[in-house]
Amino acid sequence: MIWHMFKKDLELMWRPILAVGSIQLAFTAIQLRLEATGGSAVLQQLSQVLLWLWLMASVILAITVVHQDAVPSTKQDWLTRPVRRIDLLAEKLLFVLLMVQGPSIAADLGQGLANGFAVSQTVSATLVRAVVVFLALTLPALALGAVTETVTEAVVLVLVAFFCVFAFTMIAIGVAGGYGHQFDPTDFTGEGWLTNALRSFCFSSAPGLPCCFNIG
Amino acid sequence: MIETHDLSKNYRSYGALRALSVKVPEGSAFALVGANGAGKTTLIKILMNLIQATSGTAQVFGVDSRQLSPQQFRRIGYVSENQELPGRLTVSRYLNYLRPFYPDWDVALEREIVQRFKLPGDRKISELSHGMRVKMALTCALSYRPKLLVLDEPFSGLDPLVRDEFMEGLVEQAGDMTVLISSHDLGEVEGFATDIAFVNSGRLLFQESLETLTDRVQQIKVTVEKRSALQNAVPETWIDIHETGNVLTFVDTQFSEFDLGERIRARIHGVREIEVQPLSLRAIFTSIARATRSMQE
Repeated sequence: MIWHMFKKDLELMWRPILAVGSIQLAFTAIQLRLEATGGSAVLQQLSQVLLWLWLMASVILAITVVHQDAVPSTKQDWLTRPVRRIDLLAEKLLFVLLMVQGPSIAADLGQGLANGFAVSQTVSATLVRAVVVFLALTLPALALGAVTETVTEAVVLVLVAFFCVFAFTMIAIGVAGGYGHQFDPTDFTGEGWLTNALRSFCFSSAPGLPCCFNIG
Repeated sequence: MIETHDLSKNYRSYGALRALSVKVPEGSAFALVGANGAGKTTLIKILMNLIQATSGTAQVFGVDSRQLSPQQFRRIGYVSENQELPGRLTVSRYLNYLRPFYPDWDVALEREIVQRFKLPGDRKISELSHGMRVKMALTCALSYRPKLLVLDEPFSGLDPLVRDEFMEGLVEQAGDMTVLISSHDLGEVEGFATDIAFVNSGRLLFQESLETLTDRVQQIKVTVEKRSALQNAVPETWIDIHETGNVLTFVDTQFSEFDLGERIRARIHGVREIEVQPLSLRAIFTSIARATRSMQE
């Protein structure tokens, strides 16, 4: 059933997938040009714009694919159909891996090989980047999609979250006595990776995703 | 088939359902009726595990509704007035999509219903009219011959022609299916329902078979010699009492022909004639709802 649901989402989402893939393709082409010739300042700026555009478009695509079978709704038809939530989660994960991250993985591989890196080096670097993007971008986007019904709701939620983090940071700075104060005692020490890993784990939504899909 | 015990649902301080216990017998066409906001949709949403009850239990096929799994949903058809179908898929594509989820999906039956409802296979669901969308939802619910069909206000916003077509399609396929249908319009379920439950302000007023109900609740028309013949103390079972000239009418909610004349004469002076009139379901509902409201006030 996972593949069956995948095909349905693909049929509904092929246009946005194509758009995100095109942004990725344009970004990679510019990157290759920059790496080969140094490129102009305009190309460098365009590359930056395309990178941000791709990031935003990927997040919106991941959120939208979850919204095709909105989880928090009480009106969606699929809720009273024999659809296993675990299958739905697996399908959405597979979809974002193949359709959202897939083009980016392919581009990274192509770019590495075109620049003359060894296959093993290219593959490992691509995988590391893919895992980072998956944890830092794709999973939170999936979780966000699973707790909202529309992109507007998701955007509002992100803005609220950013505002809360910003407010908390400002208050913390105020309480701690200014910008110069070091918040985290592990910063710039050998143990710094521990808190960074913990932060990444919390920010990536891996632990919360099954809950978002009401599995269990 | 369906059973709830002391089911309550609160939205903050508002009690949408208040200790509601109801039992839907297997094979029945069970009408859940009540005014808008009575709690019918809330009850159905709890039964379908779309929302959680605040307290009490609800069982469907003997399974706690919170634990409903694909195994049960394969035997349940659900149609609601505000159900959201994937609008960007065409009618045919969505039917194709649903088919593999149901081992008992009957393609011939699906085609028959599609033809009967004149559903345009190549049109996107979002481009269908409201009536067509409801018919589409019914097609998606009937094509696998569910054991339980739950219809939540399916006729809202439908014109009479579409409503009749919908009912005809439903009656034709009902077979031994248990049907739970909620409606605020009794005319819609009369002639179809075998059992009925009245819900008012989240409370169950009563539930019984339609036959028993129409036998039990009758209108009595008493012609008297002069006005104000009614004594002060009347039984609680007499509701909706009206006096027009020399004619006194009331609804007896525990009607029995036995000793009818004597019982009436004991309460009303100068009785000249007693006439018993059966009531339509709509009239029964209106009388009971009115009496309940005046009791609450």
